[in-house]
This record gives sequence, structure tokens and C-alpha cells, in this order.
Amino acid sequence: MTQTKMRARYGVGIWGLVAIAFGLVFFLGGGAATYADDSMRMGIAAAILAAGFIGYLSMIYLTREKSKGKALISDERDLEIARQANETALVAVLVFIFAVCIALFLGYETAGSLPVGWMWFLAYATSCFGLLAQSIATLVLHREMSGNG
Amino acid sequence: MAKEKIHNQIRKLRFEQGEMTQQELSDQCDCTRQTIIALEQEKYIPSLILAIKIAKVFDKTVDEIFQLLDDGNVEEGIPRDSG
Repeated sequence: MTQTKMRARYGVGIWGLVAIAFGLVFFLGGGAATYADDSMRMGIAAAILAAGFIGYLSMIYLTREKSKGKALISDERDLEIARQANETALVAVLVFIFAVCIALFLGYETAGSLPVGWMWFLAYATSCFGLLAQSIATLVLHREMSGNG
Repeated sequence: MAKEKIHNQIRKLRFEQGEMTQQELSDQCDCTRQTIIALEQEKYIPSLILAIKIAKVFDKTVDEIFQLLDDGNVEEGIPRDSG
């Protein structure tokens, strides 16, 4: 298995778990309306995201090229897959932000204002979604551009 | 615009060169075995640098190994410089 594929698999796992955990913390216990006033939920969410980044960076470090005497673990095809995955993730993030903003507008159009907790949701969810989309796109592209993976 | 593909002779040439393994070829071309597999299955188009490295390993020219396919047909009539 090449380095990019291995990292993408771990990435899906890490950011999938972070997204689920954040979703539970955000939506259970009052949702956006009470989120900004609930320092415990905000702290837990921050800790979850921080754990996600620490786990992700640790994984990047542990799967670095060890080289010298060993077979290559990435090459130009992996770089091409990473480039295309980043492009795909960028588009996915733009669509995600657009969709969330429109959904919030439609949901709160008549109220005229919305709970500030949604800003936290947008910030956290965009981070998770972008990294998750990048990892999934990498796996899909590996499948398309590979013989046996 | 017609969809273009690159057909290649890598698998055939590997067997003609004493059944060279995919790993041996990838080691000589500084790429991964997965890339050789993808090339043989025509799921990946190599960079010019990798194409030249592969051609050097087999002691062939790039266009002897890689042919441009246009709508499923090998493109013909590309003049080659004889001088």
C-alpha cells in the first residue's frame, strides 16, 4: 500500500470519528441555541477537534518516508492523486459552506437573526468536512487509478 | 473533443526481457510497483520523465512503448525524424 492511500484510510477514520463526536456534542444538549453559552460543550468540542489534529499530525509523522534501502512508498502517481483529491476537496468545501449558509438563511429567514452557535458549527464542521472529503477523494482516485490498489 | 488514451507495451516488454518482475521494473524507474500495475492496466498515464525512464530500461524509444489512442484506435502516421 502506498503512503497516500494509507494516510487517506487513517484520515477517513480520524475525521469521521471527529465529525461524529462533534455532531453529538453540538446537537445533543440544546443545539446551536445554547452552544455559545455552554462553556463545557464548547470545551469538549475544542478538545475533540484538537485531538483530531494531534492524531492526524501524529499519523502523518508515523507514516513518513523511512527510505534508504527500502522500496519507494510514493511516486508521481501519488502526487497526481493528491493534487486531484485536493481540488475535489476544495470544491466539496465550497459546496458545503454554500449549502449550510443557504440552509441557515432559509431556516432563520423569518426570525431575522440566528444563534451565534451556528458560527461555531460552520467553523468546526468545515474543518472536519474538508479533511474528510480530501481523504475520501484520495481513496476513490486510488481506486480509479490503480490495478490492485 | 475525442477522449484520448495511451496504450503501452510494458507488460509484453517485461516478459520479453526475461520475465522481469513489476518490482524490478519499478525499482529501475524510481516508481512504485502500484504505478507499474496501473500503467499495465492503462489506468494511469505516466509523466514524460517516467515514460523516458521506462523506455531506457527496455532500450526502446518512448513511442515504441507508448501509443496514443484516439477513440479506441492507435494513432497512425506520425512522421519520425530519420535524420
